Amino acid sequence: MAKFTLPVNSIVKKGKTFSDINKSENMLTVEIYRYNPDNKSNPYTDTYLLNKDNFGPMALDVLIYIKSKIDSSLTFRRSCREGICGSCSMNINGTNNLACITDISNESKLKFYPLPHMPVIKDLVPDLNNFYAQYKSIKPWLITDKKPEREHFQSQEDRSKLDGLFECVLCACCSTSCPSYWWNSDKYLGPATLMHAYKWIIDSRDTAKEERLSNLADKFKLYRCHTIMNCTKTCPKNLNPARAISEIKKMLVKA
Amino acid sequence: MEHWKLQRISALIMIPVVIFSLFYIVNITSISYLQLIDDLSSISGFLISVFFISFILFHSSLGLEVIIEDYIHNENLQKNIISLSKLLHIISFFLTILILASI
Repeated sequence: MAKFTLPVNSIVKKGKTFSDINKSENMLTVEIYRYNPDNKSNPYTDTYLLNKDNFGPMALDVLIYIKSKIDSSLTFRRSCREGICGSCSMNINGTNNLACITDISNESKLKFYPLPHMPVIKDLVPDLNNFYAQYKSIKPWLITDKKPEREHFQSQEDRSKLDGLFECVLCACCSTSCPSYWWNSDKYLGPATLMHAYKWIIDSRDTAKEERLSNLADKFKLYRCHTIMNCTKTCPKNLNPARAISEIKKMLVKA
Repeated sequence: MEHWKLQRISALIMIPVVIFSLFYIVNITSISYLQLIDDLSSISGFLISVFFISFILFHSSLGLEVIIEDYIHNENLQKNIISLSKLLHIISFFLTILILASI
């Protein structure tokens, strides 16, 4: 059954407040979700009062500043710092985004939470094992019976069909913003995986279109998408997973 | 897939029927009570009403099935509630026909 209340041990409590400023016009109040499974205690939110002059203009700069100067136990994923790796996906001020490309120069308050409705490993680090297993299930590699002498050629026109799809970095912002994915993440593949599936279906070099489509023709894997469009609204790379999903549905009607 | 297709087809069919019914309801004050009874008891009025109710109930049954699948994860409970929902829709359909036929 859908749960409408939080279990007692997951109610978020108020944590400590840290301040590294006396009085500043450029003050930033940062609230961060904290959870350590080793403590066997409830999650809590710590508050940090910071001077914005001390770090860069992106949300990730704030987290790196807190970790290096105030609290080294703060845990989060990050790598490229330029929106390419998808590691630093998290919920910032109520919207899923990549911390490294979220401009905070005009913000006075920030709230950092892990990606919604995912098991939390620690602080801002969610467990993405199920997400990656779902991605693996669509066979995200080229399937072809052709054996070219050198390489698989593709016309410029066919290649342009992959624009707006190949840019996905699998940050999981879209999937974890989708209510259908929240309720049925064990069975529904979610927008990110489905968009990648669509990319392989329309790739002119791939010859397993029918196999890929029949693998998706399932009332849970694909049809849990109710066109809510949160995925498209939240995508940090400005992609459109909802369109990809509707294209798959149209292909299945014609198949 | 069939379920998804049927839901869209039933929604498309309902568009003209809903528009016709809305116009009829908006203008209902301009016709007399007896005229209304005549309209509903005529063969065309009866058939339009049955057509309208059939697709509304069919579409509603399909939609409720999806909602139940979304929120109820216990498989046995889910199947039972879906069966109950379908039964209630079928009962509603026959009740509507009975009421329309008795006008």
